Amino acid sequence: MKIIFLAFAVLLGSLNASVPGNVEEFTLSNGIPVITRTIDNNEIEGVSLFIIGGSSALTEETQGLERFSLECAMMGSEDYPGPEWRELMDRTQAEWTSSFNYDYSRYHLRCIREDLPALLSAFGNSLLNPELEEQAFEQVRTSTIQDLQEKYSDPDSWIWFVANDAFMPGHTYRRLPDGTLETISGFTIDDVSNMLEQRIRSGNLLITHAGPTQPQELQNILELAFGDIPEGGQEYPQVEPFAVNTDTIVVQHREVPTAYAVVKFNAPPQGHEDLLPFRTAVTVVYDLLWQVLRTDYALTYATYSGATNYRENWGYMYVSSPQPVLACSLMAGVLADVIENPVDEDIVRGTIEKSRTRANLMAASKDDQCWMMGNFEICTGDWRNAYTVFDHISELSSADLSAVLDRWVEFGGWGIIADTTVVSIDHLQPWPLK
Amino acid sequence: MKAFTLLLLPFVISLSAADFETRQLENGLTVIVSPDDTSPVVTICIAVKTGATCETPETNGLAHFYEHMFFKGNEALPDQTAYNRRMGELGILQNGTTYPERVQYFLTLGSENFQEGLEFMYDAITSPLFDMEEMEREREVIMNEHDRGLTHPFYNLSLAREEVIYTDAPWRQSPIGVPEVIQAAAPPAMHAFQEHYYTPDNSALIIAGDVEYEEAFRLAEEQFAGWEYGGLSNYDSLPRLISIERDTTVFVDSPSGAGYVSVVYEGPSISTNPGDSYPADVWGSYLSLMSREFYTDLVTNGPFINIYGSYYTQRFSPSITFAGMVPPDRAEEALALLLEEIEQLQSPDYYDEEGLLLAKEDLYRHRILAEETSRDVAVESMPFWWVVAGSLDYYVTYQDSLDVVEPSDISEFIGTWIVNKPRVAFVLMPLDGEENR
Repeated sequence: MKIIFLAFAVLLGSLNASVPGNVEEFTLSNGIPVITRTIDNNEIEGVSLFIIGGSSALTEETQGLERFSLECAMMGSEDYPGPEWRELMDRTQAEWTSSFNYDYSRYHLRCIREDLPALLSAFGNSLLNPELEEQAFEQVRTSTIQDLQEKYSDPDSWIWFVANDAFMPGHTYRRLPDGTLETISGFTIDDVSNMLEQRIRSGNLLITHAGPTQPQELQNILELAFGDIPEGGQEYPQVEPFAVNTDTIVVQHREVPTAYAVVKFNAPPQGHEDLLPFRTAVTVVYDLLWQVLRTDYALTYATYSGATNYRENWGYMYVSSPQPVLACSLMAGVLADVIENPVDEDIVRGTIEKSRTRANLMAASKDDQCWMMGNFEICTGDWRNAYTVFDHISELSSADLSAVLDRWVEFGGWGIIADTTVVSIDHLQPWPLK
Repeated sequence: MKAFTLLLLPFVISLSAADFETRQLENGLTVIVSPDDTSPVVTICIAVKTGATCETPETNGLAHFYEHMFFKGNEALPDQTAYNRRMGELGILQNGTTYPERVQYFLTLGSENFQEGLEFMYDAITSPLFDMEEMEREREVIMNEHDRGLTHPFYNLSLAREEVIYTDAPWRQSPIGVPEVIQAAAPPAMHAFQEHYYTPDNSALIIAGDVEYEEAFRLAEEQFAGWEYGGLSNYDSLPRLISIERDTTVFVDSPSGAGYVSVVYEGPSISTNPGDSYPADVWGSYLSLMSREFYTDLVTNGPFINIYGSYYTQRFSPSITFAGMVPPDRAEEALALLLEEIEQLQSPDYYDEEGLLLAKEDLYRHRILAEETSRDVAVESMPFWWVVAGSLDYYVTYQDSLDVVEPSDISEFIGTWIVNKPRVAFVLMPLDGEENR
């Protein structure tokens, strides 16, 4: 095999103080871009393969097919049929984690350095030449269906999807990357083969790495493992902004001892200059929700807020409480109050300091590093944005945070799971956020 | 054609556990320091030998209630608002966890604030206020935590486990406790817990991250030397809890519709039978091999979606568990097959030499992976081993002890703890309106 290395190493340290200097980029011969951060404090390697598209690559009928196909592929391949694949996993104790979101699928490998070549070789082979043996295929189906049943059964998990019904009806992101019981039940081996053939194309892929293997050696390993993946890929349209134009609520009745509530609201898309201040603002709101709902009113064990990291984003607030009417009313009030009245600057500084600690914690985790570089590359077009956050965050004032919330927060899409024989449905109306 | 072939060599991986040193202060506090300058953060953890296992029916839930009150103000920071504000000033991320056999509190902050972080931890651990008004509010928070647990898809199963496996004192496995105790909790009970368990001689201070050994030990001693020796903890003399006297099968309703089968035996306590724990770990690691008989029979060619057999290292409730997800309509068939498989475990033919070597290597790899970051070391690894084993000697000699495990040791372990021993089987599946049986 002819190996053409189109390497262009970029040393970034001099460009910006917060961008780490030990990051290099190169491209495999088939065009797959790779971003690697060399971290040699121990023997642990992390490699993430991102398959770009997410919900945009799915239809109503194919919800969950990409996830299902990848899980099937990871059961064995032409060169590593089931028994050999399992033996390799036994020998290496490799940890595979996967996540499937609205913008991309991600497979992450965590292993010891010496095992990296063999594991990536098997991974590449499984994507290109999956075995798709009938029994293993049905095992994946059964396992996936059980996962979905558990997710639906657990109100703490399902509440996020109830809120989607209120916030984003008809949106591209309503196509569920994990699938539904109906779609998963109907997939065939041909569906899986076709999906893999269509999606495993160099133009759809991105690889990130963090660990001790040096860039040149990594390039050789990756070329052997993924260099045969065919070129091509799909262009996906811009994801449309969310179009919620009124406060909305969706209530699901369940016999639960505590209610669960989530409200979602507009947030700046990736790449927008407002996103960082917005994200900081909803982190301040998190601290205030804790203070008001948990410390002052003792209404809940769990309440928090945040903003997503997709191409199109939303802010959210969450609470579980036996008194959902009061809890949701207070939650909306906290957000409205921050919009109208800038909070104490000390609270903002505290939020920023805690964010800084969190970022430094993530710097020690190869998994987190792989995710950060890949996510920001896909969603903002430049992985460096993962590291430049603190170049600007320290300058934010409380007034900036109120202003950015005022610009973006308008209507809320509320989801509630509650026992409506205990909590009157008449009292469950959407609470205005401003 | 395979691109790579792995050679199986004896002990290719050597266990590179985190570097650390341990010292003991005059008041009995164990101080463990593990430097790691990968990132400019340090994690400070205090592990306390307490938890639900120290409770009675009348105090079930108080160890956990105490953990909540840890964050509600102390002599230096008089209420949670002041406490939260100080966390912001120092950039502290923090939490606490109450397990059946230990409680731990941990915070992470920038290493430039290390000394202030030690002071913050000292004030919280030595002088919590237990203000009655704060407790009144906090009990509602804890009740919400309790109620959230009731909606978990596996709640019915965990409840059944507590009642059937820990029959003598199920509350000792239930940190969340019971509503009656949570509702009645008052400061005197908190003070009693503090007096008995929250003392330096019953605790370990673990510091991991961007620090130097000598500086960390010096600052730890300066800050914590004033914590008064207690000497009242009964933790080390608490009785064994797990007790399985006869074969039992329990069918548990599955609200999600998912199926799950498990079989549980008593296991060796790390405090009374530490020697049995090494073959137990090697054996459990062997059973996790997907290329060997256990997995092949039950998953590849059987009804299980996944399966494991493992030994859980504990002092009071050590258990040996076989468990896996199953399609609900095949749950009873899966249980029958699992029990048949367990009967074969003592046969020497069941294990091959290469697999046993692999099982040991996997344990080494597992430890390396489990200690990737300084936070992993301070929060996940060290507190567990210090509490369950009573010191870190067990942790330090672990690889050497695994190296000398022979097939005969495994056979003896199975003979002692599994063959002809009573077990409890749990089958989680939809019961269509029937009561658990």
